[in-house]
Formats: sequence, C-alpha cells, structure tokens
Amino acid sequence: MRQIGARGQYGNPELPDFMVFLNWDHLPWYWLGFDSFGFALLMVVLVPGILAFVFGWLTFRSRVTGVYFSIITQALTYALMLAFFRNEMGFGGNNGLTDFKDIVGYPVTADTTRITLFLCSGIALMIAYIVCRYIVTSRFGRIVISIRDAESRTRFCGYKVESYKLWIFVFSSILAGIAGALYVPQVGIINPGEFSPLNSIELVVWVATGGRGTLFGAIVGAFTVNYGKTLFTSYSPETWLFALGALFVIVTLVLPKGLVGLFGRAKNSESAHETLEADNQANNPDMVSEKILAEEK
Amino acid sequence: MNILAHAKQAMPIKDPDFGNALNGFGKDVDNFGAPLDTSKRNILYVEGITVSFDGFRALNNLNLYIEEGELRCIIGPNGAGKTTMMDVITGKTKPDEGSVYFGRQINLLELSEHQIARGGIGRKFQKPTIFEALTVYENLELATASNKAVWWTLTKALTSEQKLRIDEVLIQIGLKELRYKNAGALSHGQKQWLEIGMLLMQSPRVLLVDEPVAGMTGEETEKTAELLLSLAGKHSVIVVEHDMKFVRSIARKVTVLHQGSVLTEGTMDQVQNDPKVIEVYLGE
Repeated sequence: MRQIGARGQYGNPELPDFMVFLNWDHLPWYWLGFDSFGFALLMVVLVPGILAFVFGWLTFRSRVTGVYFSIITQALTYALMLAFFRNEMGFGGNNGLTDFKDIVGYPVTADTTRITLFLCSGIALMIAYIVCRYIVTSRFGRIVISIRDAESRTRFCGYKVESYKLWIFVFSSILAGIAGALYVPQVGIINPGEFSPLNSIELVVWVATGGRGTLFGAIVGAFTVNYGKTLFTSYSPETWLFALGALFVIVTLVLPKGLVGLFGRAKNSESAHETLEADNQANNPDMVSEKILAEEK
Repeated sequence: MNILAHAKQAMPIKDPDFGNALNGFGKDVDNFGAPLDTSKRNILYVEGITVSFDGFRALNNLNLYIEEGELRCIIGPNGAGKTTMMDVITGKTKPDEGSVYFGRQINLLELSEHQIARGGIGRKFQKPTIFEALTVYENLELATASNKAVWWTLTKALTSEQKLRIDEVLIQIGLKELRYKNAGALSHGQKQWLEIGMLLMQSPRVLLVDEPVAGMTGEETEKTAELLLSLAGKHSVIVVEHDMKFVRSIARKVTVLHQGSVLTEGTMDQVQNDPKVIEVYLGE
C-alpha cells in the first residue's frame, strides 16, 4: 500500500491514493515502517497477537466466560468496525484499502502471483493444521478440554485456567491474522465491512457444517460452505443469507456432528463396535481448539 | 492465639500472580515460599471465619482445627455452612473476617485456587466433577502433581515415575480395568472414586471430600468407606456427609456445624447424645 505513492491516480510520492482523497497531508505514525515487507509480515503476527493478549488478559482475569465472552468479542469487533469506518482512522474509512499494485515486486493481478499466493494459502493451511494437531494432542490440549468440561475442577487440580485460555486465544488470533494477510492480496480489497458480525456467524456455520470438535471438519466446512456461497450468489445473491441461515438450522438439527460426523456414522454401521466408535468420537481431542477458534471469531 | 490479630477484610477474588502471565508461561512450580510447619500437630487452622452473602451469614465465627493424618467428619443440617467452609479453605470464597492457615506459616487467604491446589489441598465436589470427554487414565494424568505451566504442558510428557504413580492410584480406586474407558461412561460410584483418585494424584496433604456417598448403592458406600479409611494417616481427610450410617462407619471425630458455626465436637456417640445436637436435628 505504502509503495503505491507516485504511481496512484493522484501521483503523490508520499501518500497512497486514499489518503490524498481523504485530505491527509502527511503519513500517520502507525503507517511508518509498512514500506518494508519484513516489518509488515511481523505486524501480521504481532498486531492481532498483542490485541488478543491485552483483551484476553482483561476478560479472563475477571473470569468472564461462555456466552458473555462471545458477546464481548462481538462487541469488540463491532466497535472496531465503527472506528475503522471513520476517515480519521487513516485506513481509508468506508472504502477501505484497495487498488493494490504489487507485492514484493510482483504485480498482484498477474496469474503467477495469484497462483503463488494461492499456494501460500495452501501451505499456511497445512502448517496451521499440523500445529493445531500438535496442540490438541499434547497434554495442553487435554487440559483445554478439561477447562471446557469442568472449569472449576481444572482449577482445583492446580491449573491456572486463565493462562491456558489466554494463550490459546492469542494463538487463534495470530492464525486469524495470517489468514487475513493472505486473504486481502487475493481479493484485492479490504474495508471495515469485513468486521461485521455476519462474518463471525459465517465462520461458526463453516465449523458446524464441517463438524464441530474436529480440525478436519472445520476445513471441510469452510470449503463446502464457500463453494455453496459462490454458486448461490451467482444465481440469486439476495437469497444467500436465507440459505446460510437455513443451512445452519438444518445442520444443527440433522447433522449435529457435521459432514465429518456423516463419514463417522457410515463407518459405524459397518462395524459392530458402534458404541466404541461413538466413544472415540466424543473423545476426539480436536473438539476444543475448534470450539475456541469458533468462539474467538 | 489472638484471632483478631489475623482478621482480614473481605476482598474481591483476584489472582495475585496473574499479573505475571508471561512468567507463568515458563517455569511455574508449586511453592509457597515457606515449608509446611506442622510442629504443633495441626495441619489446618480455621479461625474466626465469617462469610456473609447479602446479609445472610453462611459462616459465623467458625473455628476448626484439623490434625495431621486425621479423618474428620463434618455433619450438620442443610445450610449449616459446610460447603461454604470448603469454599473458604480452597480459596473459592474470601471470608469477611477470620484467618485460614495451612501449617503454621502459610496464609491460605492470600492464595488463589490453583496455588492452594498445587500446595497440597485437594477438593472433591458434591456432584462428581470429572472430565467426561477424557479417559479414566487421562483424567488422572491431568491431575498429576507436575509442572502445570502452559509451556510445560505443551512440550513435556509425564515422567515414568509419574506414570507409575497413576497405575498405583488406578489400583487404589479400583478402576484399573477401566483405564481406557471414557470417564463419562462410568457409573455414578465409579465417577466418585475417579474424582478421589484425581485428588490423590495431586499428592495432597489435606483432602476435602464433599458428600462422597450421595447416590451410591450399599456396596459402593462400603467400598468408599474402606477407601477413605485407607487414606487417613497418610493424608488428613475431611469428609462432609449427610448419611449418618456412613459417618458412623468411618468416623473417629465428628464436628457438628449449625448456622455457620461449630455446635459441638467429639466421637459419634458423644455427638449423638448431645442434647444440643438432638434439638437441632429433631427440632424442639
């Protein structure tokens, strides 16, 4: 963004178009350093991480839990949305940031760049999956399940519940930050509308559709729902929201374990050890991190 | 001992070392900074505790001393303050007045729940509270006394010594064959034993056991009595229970609570023949 400067419509050597357009006469301090790619990459991880740390530290310390915590996170994103809509924030206000030209020297619209970015997303997904897998199968993962099931028991077992919540919250927000950084150059525009609560709900629908309590289910769900969205919005864009709502209701009623649960069920009826299988599924340690990820969003 | 000298004002629950969240990420072991001093035979000193909820006095100048290795039963009618007393000892509720000392040095009122738990006071809840989504073995694994800091649990598995200890406890609570079973699928009695097993994994000095035989069959009750009796001596065990038959079968010393303070103390026979106790239980 910072490197557009002179090449923009306005040709200002110091400022990108949107700032000229919104009558900024100098660069706000928080944009400094973003002309360096390395610095920007670092901030992708640091900004959401620190934000989550501060926010999580305050809320978990006051023992805010469950639905109240979800509401507060929603309120926070809503507040951020309103703040970023203001032109004075220096992030382009209503229009957001767009008209990206190139990324580390390669034009964003070129096919090779687009393919590379797509591959990066794929690799990031795989790495994130492996890291999440490691976390949920470690002792840490089981402690987080314990916190979900019986928080005070965990506390009386000698665990500092707040620290566990805080670090998993920070971790998931860093993941979200990386996802966002990959999303924007591929879509080509980012504006405060993305903060809207609807997006959080969509994420929950992905996880519910794919299968709550599994890492793989979240991935399956994200692909299925988004494919559905692409199809639907090209035929009749107005009804998409209704379809999304209906999907959520149907999945919750008919497929409580999501699409992944469907495979599990098919396997079950084949084998004689039905209850055993069900036990194993209920025991799936993936459950928590997903739930927390979903809650976090 | 002068009770008033130790009086503390009520304060909101807050975790004194939560400010060190970053430090807690690394090494973070249980340590009170003072060794447990039980030179006067008592391990727990509860003195002059008063707790009010919206004007209702749940505990009213409660005094209780527990000896090391003792098995103490606490009985009392509903609302006598039995559970509130446990909440105060384990750090869940901060009293308006009074003091709670673990040994002669350690002031429990200054510590938070997880610190008290790490330091050696285990608590079993009234309703069996276990981690239902995990196996019996994993439940005990989580309760094991070990470094419970975030980074540690993410990178380190248990030592072979700790695993042996889990096996020992599995035998002790009679759940060895069920170790890979989901805890949620256990019977009510087995859940209670598992929870007691989880307390044992913390190597506690004091065990607080809230209504261990509620809802158990006769046979399960007997087994529980045996288990608790076998624990006394190695640990101080405080049992809160309604079931008089059960209390009679295990009790050595009984404390009767009534309206938030101690009504009387003594052997089961002394207590049952005490006119004050009869009045409280049977009405006038």
